[in-house]
Amino acid sequence: MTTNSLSPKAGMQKDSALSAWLRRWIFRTGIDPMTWLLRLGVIVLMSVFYIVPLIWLIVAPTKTNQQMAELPPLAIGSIEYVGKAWAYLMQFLSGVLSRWIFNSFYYVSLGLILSISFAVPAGFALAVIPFRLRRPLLWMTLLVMLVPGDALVLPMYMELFYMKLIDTQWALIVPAASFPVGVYLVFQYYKATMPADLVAAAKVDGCSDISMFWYIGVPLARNIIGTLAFTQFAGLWGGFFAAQLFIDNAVLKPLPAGIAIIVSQCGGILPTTLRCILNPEGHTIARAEIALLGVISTLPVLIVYALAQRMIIRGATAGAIKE
Amino acid sequence: MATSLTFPGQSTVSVRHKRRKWNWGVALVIPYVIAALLFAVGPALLAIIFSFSEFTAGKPQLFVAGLNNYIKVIKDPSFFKAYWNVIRFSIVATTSGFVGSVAIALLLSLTRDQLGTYARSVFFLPGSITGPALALMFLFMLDPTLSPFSPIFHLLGWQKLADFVNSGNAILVMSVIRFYLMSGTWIAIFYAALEGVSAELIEAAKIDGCGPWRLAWYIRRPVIMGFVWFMVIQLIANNLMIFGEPYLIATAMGGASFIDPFWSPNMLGSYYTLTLANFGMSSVVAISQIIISFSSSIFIVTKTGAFTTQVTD
Repeated sequence: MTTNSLSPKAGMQKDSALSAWLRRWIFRTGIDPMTWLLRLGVIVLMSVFYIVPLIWLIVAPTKTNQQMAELPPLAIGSIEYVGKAWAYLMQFLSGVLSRWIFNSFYYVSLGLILSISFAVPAGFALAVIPFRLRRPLLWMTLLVMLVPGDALVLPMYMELFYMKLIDTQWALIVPAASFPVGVYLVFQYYKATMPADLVAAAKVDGCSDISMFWYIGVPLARNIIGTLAFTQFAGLWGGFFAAQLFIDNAVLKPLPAGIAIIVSQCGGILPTTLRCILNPEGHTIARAEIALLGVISTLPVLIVYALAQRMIIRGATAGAIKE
Repeated sequence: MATSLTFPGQSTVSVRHKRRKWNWGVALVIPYVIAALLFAVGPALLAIIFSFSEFTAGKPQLFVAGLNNYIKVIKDPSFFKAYWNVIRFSIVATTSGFVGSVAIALLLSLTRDQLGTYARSVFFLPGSITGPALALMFLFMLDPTLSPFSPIFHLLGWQKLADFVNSGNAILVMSVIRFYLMSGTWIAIFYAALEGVSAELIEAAKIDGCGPWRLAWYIRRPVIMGFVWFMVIQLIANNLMIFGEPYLIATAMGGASFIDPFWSPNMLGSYYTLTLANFGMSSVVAISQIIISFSSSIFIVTKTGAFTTQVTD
């Protein structure tokens, strides 16, 4: 009897405990548990889609061609094989791979120096110093900034051809001086950090335009240079179309264009297209070596992406969106 | 003689002297302007001039070709085939990229927690893979004999690479690759924008009885819509210019490739330039790309309001 009389009460208590938990849950998360589970499911699915190929790429160079077919796709072979895969790649064209890696860093470094040193003063002038043509220049910057880089590669080839720069390292360095995204980012940065009142006050105190750039603009620029560098780094490092078109000499190629040479000469993707016999033992450039090339060419940008996500988002949208 | 203006309480100001004063604004901007004229505006103008010129052993005879280069390119069936390829690719890749990025970003923004921050960071990483590495990696990923996704492929009845990666599916394969590369970056961008929606606005909507889905659709979505147009136009323009991924696939697979060497206009243009050394025809392809690019950028600047050109004089 007692139990029977308590049952509805216990049920009610259970219901109210459940609804209290539900209320607490919704108060804490803002969404009901089913929506939360749906969100979790999508995150897990998309994480698998985005991350599994990356993990595969990183572990693939640890496996021989045979192990790739036999072991589970995400299994690690042996770390020693990475060294062997590197050694096989270095047998291709007398170790030209190390030169491609050096070229990539060299071109990107000089390109960064050039683009940032041109973008900072230009962005400062557009934001702070009144001069005729300021507005048209800003418009030109915006229009050029939004044109995809690959749209101008073909005519730029012709221009560089007549400037006698094709097949020289300068063909991949000098065009970096035109960095409209950087100019616009700097323009926005100085507009925010140097409001008109501050500029007017500096002028009343006798500060000339150039002293304002040197004593206020340059020290402030330290905060924006990171964004410029990270934004431009990814673009310069991965630039493939220009590298493929502007440089014919295999020794002068940067890494992404070098990869194209290896896959065109050696195949390596399909088991039937293995064409490079590197030594008397019959070693060849196959899938593990191609995957190692992928890791080497991606790693620098991956590190930059992992470290400077917010800055790259700012660069990708040229600051049009506030984080 | 210099004209002098005198204001009460001021010393004499020489107008001529004022005009001659060096403007440092111009000096600071000159290096960039020269670079932009040389490497952005210059090539576009050069393409226009060269498209009407004839070339003998690399030497141009300016404006003697008339419309010959245009006629030759239009008569080349590869030109329209290349545009047909990239237009179809652009429709599929842009639609999937746009719908996928916006939907996932809205779903992530339903609540603020560590999981959302984790997702944003992880989804962003594939954007770092360089073009050649990406194309090659996807050839491995879509091979049922190697791929970690092989159980799914086997369920779909694919046993070998060519079962899915073939000329009939070229658009789909290229779109999957583009989605993998681009969507994470856009999700991160939209998510960052959605996080910027003011807490007061969200609270007010909640008090008015707005649930999480209505909140996402009616309050959060409009915040990013202006920027979505920027994204869509940029994606279309970028997709029409595609070169790296199809070029690498065509090169890597050789005779077995499902992508032909003139699959995209930029691939065709590079063939005209490097193999035929015909800068005239190459210029015509370049002009078609420049027209699309500049039209899209003019549209973004004038219509989307995503960028500001306000300056104080």
